Amino acid sequence: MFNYLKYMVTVPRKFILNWAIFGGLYLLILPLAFANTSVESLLIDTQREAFRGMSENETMMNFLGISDWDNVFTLEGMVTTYFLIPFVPILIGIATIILLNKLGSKAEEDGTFEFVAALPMTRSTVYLTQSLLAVFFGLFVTFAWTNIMFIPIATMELSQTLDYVPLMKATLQAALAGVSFGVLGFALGAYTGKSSMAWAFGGGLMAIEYLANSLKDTNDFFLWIDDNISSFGAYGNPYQDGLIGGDVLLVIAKIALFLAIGFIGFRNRSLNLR
Amino acid sequence: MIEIKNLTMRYKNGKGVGDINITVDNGEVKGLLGPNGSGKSTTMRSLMGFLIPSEGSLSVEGINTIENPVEAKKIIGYLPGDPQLPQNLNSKSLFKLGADMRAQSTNYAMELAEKFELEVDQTIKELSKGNRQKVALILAVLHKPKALILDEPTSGLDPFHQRTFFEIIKEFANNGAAILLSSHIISEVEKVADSMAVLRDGAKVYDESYETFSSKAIEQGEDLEDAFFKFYDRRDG
Repeated sequence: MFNYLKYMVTVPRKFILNWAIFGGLYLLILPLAFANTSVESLLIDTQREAFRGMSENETMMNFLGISDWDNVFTLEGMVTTYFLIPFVPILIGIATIILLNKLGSKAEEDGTFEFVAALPMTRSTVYLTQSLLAVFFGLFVTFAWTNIMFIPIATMELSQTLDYVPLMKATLQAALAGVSFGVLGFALGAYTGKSSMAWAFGGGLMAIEYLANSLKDTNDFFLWIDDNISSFGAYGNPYQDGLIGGDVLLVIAKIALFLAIGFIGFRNRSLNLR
Repeated sequence: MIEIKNLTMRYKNGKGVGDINITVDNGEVKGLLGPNGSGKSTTMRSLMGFLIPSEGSLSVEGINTIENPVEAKKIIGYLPGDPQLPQNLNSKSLFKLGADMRAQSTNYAMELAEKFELEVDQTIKELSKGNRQKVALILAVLHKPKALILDEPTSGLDPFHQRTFFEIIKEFANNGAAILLSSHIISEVEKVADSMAVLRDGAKVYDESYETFSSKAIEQGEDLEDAFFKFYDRRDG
């Protein structure tokens, strides 16, 4: 299992490192916007006023996941209500599907999986190792992003700041939401051996839950999805409120359920080799 | 010993193989012949447990390859028909992975790499088709398996390295390995096989020693290729 895990990390190492490092570097823009008054005025105050008209459009605000326009233009607001939700779950979901397709269902279709399948491992070992990667990749990348982003917060004099522990709690919550979408894609790819199914189900669930989150105030059905099964809906405000057991449990239960579905399918089917 | 008993494996489109029985004794090299789509790769992939057969029993050295895949794969060397390897790894790291997974050293792999004049530090992406085939071949045999399942093993190899390959196969057979080797080409099988099985449309239509096949062909005044094409009614092209 360890050797296979090593292989799965080695083959896509550039992909993993690119996502972890460059995403984090890009996010440095958020704290650095509060590094001095002229930058803050240019990047924050100007934007806030220039786009204020948008805040009057409720549907647009819902689509962007924004409830308080002025709060978005604080460091905490930008990070916790705008970056960690909805962008982290969406990006992590997409990246996890790409990565696990590369090692799983897409690898079956293009033939690289035949080499792995000939190694002395059971299907269960292969699947469990891939599952470990699916979960830890999302967590690793999200924590890498927020920790890189935290460097200027910890080392520079900024006009606004964030506390490390609450930020990490919010990071965990956002990462788990992303993992839930990515894992559904991975699991359905493993169940069917078709990479298109990974996108259809992983991307499909993400789209439905995002839509439900955006339109929850307009429709009872969307509200029900958002309240009861959505990973976006389970997010809350972990930076201020800490992690809420029920919300975290819901997302973990979804991840476990999706992984179990994939496991059942992958163990009992012919490989989809070309 | 490789034993395929009553193998039936059907794809959703109805193609596949039906009621295949093939035995390869220890020390024997059996050629599995047939054109594209005749069922060679399906038979080999079923034997490896990649495809789930609807019927049949598949074993190597008495180990059922479906029920006990880990123990079976420890003693099987498998070469896919169109080996695709991770592009960004070099041969050396792939050999290390293959060896580590079976608790073996890479000494034999490096020895073979030298025989095949393979640059082990180059990534797979940098290698020619023939050199990739060499890497895949070495990966299949680096743990000195007791059974070899080789799907069109000489594809892409130049004549010089084909000879090296046949020498390796003979060495394995002399050491008691059972070898099942697929090919489209009768002249390739002629060089190395003791016996041959012929597949047509997913069914086995011939299974005899190579000597029997060639002496019958000679008796009837046919060359080997014509005699082989008779299985497919394509004698006249």
